[in-house]
Amino acid sequence: MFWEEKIETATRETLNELQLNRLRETLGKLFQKSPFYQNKLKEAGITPDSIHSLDDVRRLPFTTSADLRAQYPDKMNIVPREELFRLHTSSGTTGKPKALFFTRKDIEILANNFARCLTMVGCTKSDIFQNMMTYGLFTGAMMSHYGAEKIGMLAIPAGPGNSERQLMLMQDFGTTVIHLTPSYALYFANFVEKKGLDPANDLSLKIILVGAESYTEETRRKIEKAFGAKVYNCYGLSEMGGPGVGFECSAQNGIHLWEDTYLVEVINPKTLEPLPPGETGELVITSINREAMPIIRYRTGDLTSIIPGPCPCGRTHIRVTRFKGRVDDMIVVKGANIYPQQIERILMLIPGVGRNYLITLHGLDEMLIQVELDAETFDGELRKLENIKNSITTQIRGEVQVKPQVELLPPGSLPVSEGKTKRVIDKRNI
Amino acid sequence: MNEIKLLSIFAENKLGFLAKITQTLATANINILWFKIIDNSGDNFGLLRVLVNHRSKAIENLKANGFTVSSVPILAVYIEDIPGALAGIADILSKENINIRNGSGFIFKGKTVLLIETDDKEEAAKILTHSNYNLLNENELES
Repeated sequence: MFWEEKIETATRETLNELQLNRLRETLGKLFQKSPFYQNKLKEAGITPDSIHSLDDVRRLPFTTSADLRAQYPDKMNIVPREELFRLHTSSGTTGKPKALFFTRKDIEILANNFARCLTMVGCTKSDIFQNMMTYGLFTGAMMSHYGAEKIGMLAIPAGPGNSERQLMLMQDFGTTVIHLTPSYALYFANFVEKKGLDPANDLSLKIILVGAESYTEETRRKIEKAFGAKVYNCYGLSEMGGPGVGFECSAQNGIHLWEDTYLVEVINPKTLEPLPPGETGELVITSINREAMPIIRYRTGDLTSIIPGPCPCGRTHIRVTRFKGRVDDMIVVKGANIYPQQIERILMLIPGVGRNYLITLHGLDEMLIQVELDAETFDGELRKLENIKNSITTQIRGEVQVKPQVELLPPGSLPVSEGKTKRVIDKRNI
Repeated sequence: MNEIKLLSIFAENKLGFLAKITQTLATANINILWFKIIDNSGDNFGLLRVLVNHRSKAIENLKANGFTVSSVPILAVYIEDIPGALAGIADILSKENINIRNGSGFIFKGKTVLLIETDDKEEAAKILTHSNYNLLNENELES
């Protein structure tokens, strides 16, 4: 199903031409109205007519998270105050957040993109959409909410947490689609089971939209199995307008990024050189259809690679692989570079391992992995517990070249947040 | 075959864990007939094996309180409280090539009961019954 079949399946030539025009328009506006970009572009030796082809985007300077913070509160904005329609902020865990402005048209474009995403995975106006993301300054819930309204779904702005009430809403109103974080999805499945219900049969869920945290394919399969529903990856970042920057199609193989709104690159985070399709690096996005605050070559910090070749769904917009984590998620233990997702992938494949885990770095350079057991497969035999522990130890050692300490814990004993769950704690004295 | 089942509870090696479990059982008015801690030195976890009078009620209450629990079958044999009683059982089973891997005893309603883990539980039960030993069953526990 398509929301806007013509643009979603446009030819490469059409998309590229549109992108080039929009990139030039964007730069033109920035040269006129943004002192921040005027300086940045001048330093990089760029003039308004430097861009002749899409390849010239490589000559443009990057914008970083630090840049956005430095321009707080409103120096990234280039439209008059009366044109501003909405303010969101990024999660500012340290210091000032990033202030993100949107005009009416900006919001309209983002809602429309999200409507494309929802339609792509099979949502229609007959569906009941329970949005379990955080409403408020965070973009996650608001933008998806507008997308759902756009196609006429019945939207329930439940917000996160209060699992008791979430379950009540699902049962009483027959929710068919939910939108939440992967860790909350796992937690919630467990919660429903503890109530003596089977989330796959006692609820009416068909489609689960999962985003805001990176997670592995194995975790996706666990969520799908628990709820008996299809799980689709949702990618977004507040700096680019929130969720729906990219979304998985029904093929469940890669995330389409909307190229009429974003110019997409993958670069080597060390050399900053662009990488060819298939190679993993940092996703860099330029917004090319934005009024209030266009951003040039934004370094997302998210690791992925471009998938070459056409998608069976018929959409021509670029596809990237499941996100492999964040550039700054990488941990270094005993000299080895480790992404927590590598560890998660192994854990989720070992029978008897439950849904939650925590990696703690401590002492001089030790890695402790605490894993919850799966209550369903616990058979009361010590030998089986030993086997689980040994499989975890040897398989993780094989993957990351560091021997972990492993602890098995009863289900439900590790903390689960209803927002983003912390998977790594660093207590090392080094 | 008459066999009984022990509760096998996943136990974190943590202060207060035993207190929490036994309190849960006490609150549910369940009597503990026998118990044993299986410590796995070097690991953060072990198992707690418990024989109770009402097994399904115990499981229900333990699960509701967040414990990870399962049942494991074991043979429980009535023996006389006299010198040589254990020797008698050990002798019979060894003659039939059945190895006793683990054993323990307790008093049930004034009678001595031996709990044994053997290699071939079914065969062991058959041999003991043929040799006129009585095996304890689950119904007796609940009565």
